[in-house]
Amino acid sequence: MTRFLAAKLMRAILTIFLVVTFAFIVLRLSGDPALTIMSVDAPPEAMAAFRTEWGLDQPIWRQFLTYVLNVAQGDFGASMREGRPAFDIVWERVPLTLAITLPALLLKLTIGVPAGVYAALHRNSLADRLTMVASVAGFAVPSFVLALVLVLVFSVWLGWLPTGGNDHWISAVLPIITLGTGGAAILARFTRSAMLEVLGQPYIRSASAKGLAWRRVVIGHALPNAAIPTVTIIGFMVGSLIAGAVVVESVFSWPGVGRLLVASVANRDLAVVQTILLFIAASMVVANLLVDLAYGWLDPRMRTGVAPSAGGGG
Amino acid sequence: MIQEADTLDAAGGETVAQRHSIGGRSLARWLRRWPVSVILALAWVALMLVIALGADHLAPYAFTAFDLRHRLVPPALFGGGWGHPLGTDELGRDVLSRLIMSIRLSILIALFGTLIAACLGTSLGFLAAHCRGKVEALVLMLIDFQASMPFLIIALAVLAFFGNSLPLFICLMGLNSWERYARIARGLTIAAKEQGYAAAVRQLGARPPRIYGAHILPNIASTLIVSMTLSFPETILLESGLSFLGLGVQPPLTSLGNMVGYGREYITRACWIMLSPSCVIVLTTLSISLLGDWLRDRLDPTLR
Amino acid sequence: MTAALLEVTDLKMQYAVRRGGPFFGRTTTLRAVDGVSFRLEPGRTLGIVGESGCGKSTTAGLVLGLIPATSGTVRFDGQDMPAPDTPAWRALRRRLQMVFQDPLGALDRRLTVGRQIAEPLTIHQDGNRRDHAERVREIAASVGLQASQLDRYPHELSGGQRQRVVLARALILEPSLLVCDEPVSALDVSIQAQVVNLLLDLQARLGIAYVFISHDLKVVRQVSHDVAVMYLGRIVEHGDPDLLFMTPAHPYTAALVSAIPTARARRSRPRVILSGDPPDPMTAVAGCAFHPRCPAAIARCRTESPALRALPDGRRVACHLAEPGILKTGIAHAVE
Repeated sequence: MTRFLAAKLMRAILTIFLVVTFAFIVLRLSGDPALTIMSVDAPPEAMAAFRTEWGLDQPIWRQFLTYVLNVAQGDFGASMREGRPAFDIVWERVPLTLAITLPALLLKLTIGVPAGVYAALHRNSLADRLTMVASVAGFAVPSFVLALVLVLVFSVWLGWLPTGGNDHWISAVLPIITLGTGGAAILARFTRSAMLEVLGQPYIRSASAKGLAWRRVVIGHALPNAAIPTVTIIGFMVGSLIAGAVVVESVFSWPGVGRLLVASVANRDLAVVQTILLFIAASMVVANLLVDLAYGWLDPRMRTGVAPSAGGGG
Repeated sequence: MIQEADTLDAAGGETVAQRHSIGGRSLARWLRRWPVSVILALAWVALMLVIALGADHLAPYAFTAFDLRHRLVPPALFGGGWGHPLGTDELGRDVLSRLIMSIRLSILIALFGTLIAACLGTSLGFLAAHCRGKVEALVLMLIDFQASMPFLIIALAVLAFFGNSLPLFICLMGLNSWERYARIARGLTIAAKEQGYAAAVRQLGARPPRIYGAHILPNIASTLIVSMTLSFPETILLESGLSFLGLGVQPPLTSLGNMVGYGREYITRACWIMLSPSCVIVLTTLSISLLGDWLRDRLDPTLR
Repeated sequence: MTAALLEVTDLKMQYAVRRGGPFFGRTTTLRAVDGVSFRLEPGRTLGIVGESGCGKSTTAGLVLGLIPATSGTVRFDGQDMPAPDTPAWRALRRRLQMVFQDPLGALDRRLTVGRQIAEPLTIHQDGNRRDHAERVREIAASVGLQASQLDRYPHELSGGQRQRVVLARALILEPSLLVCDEPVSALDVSIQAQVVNLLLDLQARLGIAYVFISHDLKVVRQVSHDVAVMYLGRIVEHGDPDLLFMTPAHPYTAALVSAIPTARARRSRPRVILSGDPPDPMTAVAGCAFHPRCPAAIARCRTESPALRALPDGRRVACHLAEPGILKTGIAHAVE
């Protein structure tokens, strides 16, 4: 088991390193930040000073090395707009983003999974069809459309909820609902497919033929096996706790990490964008690790390193 | 999926009786064989394609034409006249015309993006399966990297660093979900090579172009096409999301996401500006997903 | 002695296998084929038998040159086998062909069988379209396929017919050697007989040599002029089929033969049951590879690996107990 974990850890570190390198390469390829930040007709001395201050005049491998070393020490550079450390700027926004993504995740889990399971157990019933319609709609309706429609209905026409900002906790309601319902629909669909696939397996039939009550069959056999592929999706959603609200935060003017990302992209504030990338990569990597751990717990085949589709001899 | 009982026979072809029917009776029977949702989806997609191709001729006004005397006119059925069937925006531009041009641009971007992703992904998948060893490890690492983050974030990062121009943007869309095709191509090729027709043809003495072009590609084409019907709507959603945020298609060009973005400010006064492109996005994505699901069920039920 | 069509000398094929994951695993050597040598004359059949994992299919791949050997040589018609996927190797495919275990898998399900039978002609650019059609018809007839079946797709034919298609495709260029890897295992017993007879018939008419690989001893005995028994990558007994099956010299052969189900209520030959699990090809065994499961193992078997020795009756055996003199006593004791 430790070997398994250690391998996953190595992979996680490798991914983070790749992201760091990717961010760096793309950043440096993209042209001169000095030109973007300062206006076109700034005097050359000011440009040169700017470059020296930000270390842009060093050879590229040196810049990379400096960058990696800094990151390892927790120094992510400073925002070119605000002058403060990028890490601080991003970090102070994380709780705000989590304030809407965590409740949304709970919503997705509590609505999506039971709905999917129920639909699979009562196939072709009205509930099943409704779930299917809802889940397809959840995929087809982009988050910004859903958000705007909700704003239209609940803020503009009914006036029950505010259109945006974060002055009152009630402003969080619409963003949470937007994030939650879309994800719930997708989760419902996935859970339904996973359950259907498991229910069609021979061991389910033999379990109920043994005389086991149907409920026990479902809880004891079907659910744990269906959980395995579902866990992957949930893992992705957990990993997206920071990254998943970009559009929604923009629509509702919610000052979280997503909104910061959009603003930094528009302003080409590279240090902040890099920092956010790393945060997101780290959260995805942690989520993947948790998923792998969950797999190891749920699927005994994983623990011994046997691939689920081992080939035959010859 | 929401489907009515599918009465197609196993081989998917017409029965002899149908071939001999005449006129309207055969048409009605043919229509009844397909689920309603699929027919509607097909009709919508056809409409979108027609609009995309004939946009210049269909738009009643030039999409940049101002008409400051008719600003924020509501759509025809809500009080405005038929001069502007879907209303006008804050600069008096006709919403219908802008919608038509937006449809064309969004569909073109999504189409090219999907094709680029499919070609890139399939080629890399073939490369990985053919060369194995280090090349394969590299491709797998790239696939992992791509799959490890939501593409929206990667796209935002690239846009931050490279700024925005239409060709760059289309290439970026082409990077969306290429890993899906690569995985499919690699997996199916390895299976074909191990104990299958590809190994057999190699043993006959065929060279790689023949093995991949004449044998493997036609066999995996249906799986790839189904994937394309999944990533096409994803690309539309991605592009409209980015354009909505102001980071995608830039003015004076107009895309569906763009329009929603501009319409957002007028949501209280003139919600139609935002609603018509939103409807188009939803219906188009819905239709293509439905078609994709139906295609997948038809072509390979074991793929579910 | 006629010049050998195929001459294999001390062929070895090893894989480095990492167990336990990419970062922390140990690397062990998997010896799939561990020193195999044999000759095959034109128009004759060599049967190779053994259980799963003994290296039969790898040997097939090595003989055809599909896999490059770690060491040892394969000479076909007096010349060394070229490296795979080179133009010389591809040109040699006209003379060497293969028949697979799974005929459905070996055929492209999107093309008609007629086109697939003609494909070797296209690949090697042998004649024009009209010639192709004619030759396809001829070869189809000789394997027992009707002209009407040539327009069908593989999934529309039965198992036996599919195998005939694979045969036709392999034979259309008139090869001298056909390697058959479990060609009848996937077929019903009644169809097996038909295909086996077809193979014998084709050999008589066209003079093709076969390397016939199977785990089914009865079939191998029927078609082979020579049989080699393989265990863990080595040949343990090699000789005339009747001699081998009636009076096995190696304990493993004895066990295989005794495991053939008989219809009679009382066995004329006692059943030899091997102890232990089938071998793991990755763990190296000191001494004779078979000794952990051998009912007749002696102390020497644990330390010294036996070489293939010739017996007076023409067979070669790799067993310490099979030396002339010890032969009957040792095995008889164990088998009782």
